[in-house]
Amino acid sequence: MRYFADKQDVVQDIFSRYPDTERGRRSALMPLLREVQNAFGYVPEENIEEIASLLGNTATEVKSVMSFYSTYHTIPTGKHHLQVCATLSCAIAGSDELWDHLVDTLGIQQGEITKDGLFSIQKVECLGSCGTAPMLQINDEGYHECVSKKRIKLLLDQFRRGEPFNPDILPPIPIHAGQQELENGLPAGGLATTLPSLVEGEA
Amino acid sequence: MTQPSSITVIVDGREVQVPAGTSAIDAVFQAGRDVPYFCSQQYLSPVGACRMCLVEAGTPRKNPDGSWILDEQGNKKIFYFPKPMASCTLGASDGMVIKTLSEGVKKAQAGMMEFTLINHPLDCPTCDKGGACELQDRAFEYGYGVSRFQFDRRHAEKHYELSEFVVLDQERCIHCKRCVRYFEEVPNQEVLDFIERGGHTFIDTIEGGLPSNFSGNITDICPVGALLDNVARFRGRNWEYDHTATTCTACSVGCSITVDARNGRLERIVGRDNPEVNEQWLCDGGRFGHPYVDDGRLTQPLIKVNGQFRPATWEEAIAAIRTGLDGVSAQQMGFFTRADITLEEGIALEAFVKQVGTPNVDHAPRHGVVVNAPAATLLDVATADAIVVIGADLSEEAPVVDLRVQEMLKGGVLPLQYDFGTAIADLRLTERMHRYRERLAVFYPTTTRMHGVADISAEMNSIQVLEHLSSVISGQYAGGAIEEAAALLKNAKKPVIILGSDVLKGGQIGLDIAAHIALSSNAKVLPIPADSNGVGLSRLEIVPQQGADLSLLGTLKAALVSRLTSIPEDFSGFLVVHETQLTEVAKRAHVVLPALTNYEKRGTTVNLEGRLLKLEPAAISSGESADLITALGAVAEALSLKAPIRGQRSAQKALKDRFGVDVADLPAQGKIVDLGRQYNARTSKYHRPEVGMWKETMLRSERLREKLGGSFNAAVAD
Ligand code: SF4
Ligand code: SF4
Ligand code: FES
Ligand code: FES
Repeated sequence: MRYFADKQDVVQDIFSRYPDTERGRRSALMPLLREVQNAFGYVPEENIEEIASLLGNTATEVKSVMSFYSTYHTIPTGKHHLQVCATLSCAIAGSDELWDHLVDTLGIQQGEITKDGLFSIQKVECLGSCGTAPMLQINDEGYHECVSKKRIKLLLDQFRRGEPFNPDILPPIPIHAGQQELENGLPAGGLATTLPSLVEGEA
Repeated sequence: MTQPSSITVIVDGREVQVPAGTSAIDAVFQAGRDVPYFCSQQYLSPVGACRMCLVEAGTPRKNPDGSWILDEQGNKKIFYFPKPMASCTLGASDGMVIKTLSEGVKKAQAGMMEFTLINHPLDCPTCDKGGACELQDRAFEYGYGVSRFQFDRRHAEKHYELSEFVVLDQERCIHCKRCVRYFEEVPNQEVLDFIERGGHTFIDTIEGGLPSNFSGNITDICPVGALLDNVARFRGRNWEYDHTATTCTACSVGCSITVDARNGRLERIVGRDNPEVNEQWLCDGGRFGHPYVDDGRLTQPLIKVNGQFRPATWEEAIAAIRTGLDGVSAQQMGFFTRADITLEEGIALEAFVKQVGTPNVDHAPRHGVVVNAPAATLLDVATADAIVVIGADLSEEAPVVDLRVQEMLKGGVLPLQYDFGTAIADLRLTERMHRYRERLAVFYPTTTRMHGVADISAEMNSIQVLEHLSSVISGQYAGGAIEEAAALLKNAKKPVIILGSDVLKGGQIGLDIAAHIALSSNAKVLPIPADSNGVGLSRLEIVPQQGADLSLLGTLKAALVSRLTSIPEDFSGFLVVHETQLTEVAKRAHVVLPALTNYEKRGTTVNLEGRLLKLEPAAISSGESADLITALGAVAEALSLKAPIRGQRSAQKALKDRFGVDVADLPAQGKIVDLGRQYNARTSKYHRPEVGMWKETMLRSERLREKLGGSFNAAVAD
């Protein structure tokens, strides 16, 4: 399915952020991948080709960049994608047990989705919340810290009932409409217009 | 090239002068020292991926007042980099001190080697690269010799077919990225890349296989046994092969190759460095097209008795030829050969027909034309600032010329040459270099691969292109791509025009227009001859001036035909065929003489630039097969004549007398020699060149046809 066929404005917006040259256009790779992943929960093969043709490069190259990041998925994910940190601090604090517990209760392995389509799991590297290990992140929505079996149960039950379960903290820098934001809603790093120009004489 | 200013570098205490801009690794080699390297490759960009080439390096520094900072002894103080440096990506600077032998360097290199080997399967005993593997050699020279790694190694696919011709062993890959860079930088096809990262990284394409024409080169440059030639796989160990340095004659480019034979069979062809011709690259046809050499070869003469062939000795064959030629006058005999024979065979043929006194002689395919404009070399192509391709499907007709055009698109940066050879890491080469597409114009009746990389292109009939281009050059307006191509030529300083079969088959008119265009725009011209030695043979009187050309074969009573793939149906005289296989033409013969392939000959061939290149015989057993000189000798004997040229020695002498060049003494990269006057004659349908990379002769091999899949035919110009 061609995802961007009826989204010329989105494509235009993304391309407008980069230099309009053969090489500049290639930079649009990441946001285009992100668009597709946000829509489907993963990036299907045909959309890899679609992105390649938009950028004017090969599908192999798109796949190469994409496979570098564990955050892009080549296979479908559940509605709630549980990313369990498996790096040192979390491992010491019991992330292995947490993982096994998730595998047992959900009846899935990494790469699979529960029958109801709600959950999928993935081991990830350190998410920078080591002090509150073990921890997991759900989708892009935020961190759940010091996760115990009891907390897992609460969390899964609430998701199954379709109720929200608020994360302990939002991810440090959420992205909304292509702009990185701080928790207080202000743009991360300030707005380009409020920053002094680096070029002398230019306002 | 203007010599860039030179700098002094001190390598292990030796001073060496190198041009500014030289990389540290090249300075080390120029000083006669060695460092191990895997990711650097002469014609690819240095990227510093493998970290094997570590050295200690430091530079002197200046005080704010411009004087050198001195040490206690009053010498320039050397400020060493805090860590070992990858010498391939480090630019050498004036006064730089490089150490390749210190304990620190040894430890760093051995440590890197240990990392590289952690996941390596160490299956050298079953690896095709064993004995010729950079990793094996370097591990022996620079490694610890023991492994401290006690865990499971990475396991991955060991027989992963990237294409019918290239197999990948994912476990052996050391992630040097040469193959990935090759595809982007050389043929300009980004079809291979790293997938996943870290220890899981593997090489793959998701374009559905490797594109054809230039894929085999990655099997040459892979420093380990990860990428293997699937035609030669498991057919021999490197030390069992007889290596013969010779020249490819599958097309007119004349790439330098090494032919590897084992037990008398040709098993593998690899590229050989020739910076002036093919650098290190080959096309897939030249590399993988050889299996026919051992397929159904004729190893002794055949005589037809009662419609059936029976094996015979050369003496019996000569006797049969004598009988067949009995009562045939010289005027009724003809001698016809394929145009890929050596210059030696050519001059022997010329001398022989003169002696016999027949005007009926020809070589095919050939274009009967002369371009009266300065000739371009392949280096001219690579360093041109404008190229106009007319009537050539380059990637098929003369594949490696395509790669030289790709080099031109990158700005014509050719790696520097040092005493030790081509620069290992020329820092001017980078990944994803800008392509000056506006410098290339391509015209061909249908879309070719070149259309995709040129800014100016059109699908047009070649004569039309020439006529329009010529009128624009003379001040008229044509519009479109033609107008742009004319402007390109006019504004360029070093323009080159490449003419392909679609122009050349049209005869002299097109060529005269092309010459006019070239002369008015100061362009050099590179025409692509119809067969590998077209340029050389056109300098010999082996075209019919008054006599019968190939299309008039039917008017003759007897003929010798050497390795032609088709002859007129109406010929009913006495036929001697000199061939490597029992082809359709050979089946019509009364006597078949077994022929050598060009891999088995000694001699000289002349490529499209007019460069004389050496052919050396590989150790291939072909029974009693003989070259054309010997075949002509047999006919001479049958005619009770003594052939004027009976071997290499006399042929070389005749060439020296004729062209003033000693072909026994050619430099390794060949030599461009003006061979003087060109002999011209009309052409017929029997002179249509094969314009595909896969040649009819190659396709005699079942093994090759299987790999190409389905029914594959060689392309012949229409
Ligand atoms: S396959 Fe060979 S050339 Fe390619 S990255 Fe691996 S080791 Fe290097
Ligand atoms: S380009 Fe021509 S000479 Fe070179 S390898 Fe291919 S067929 Fe042989
Ligand atoms: S180790 Fe788990 S968040 Fe850092
Ligand atoms: S880092 Fe690989 S050769 Fe220098």
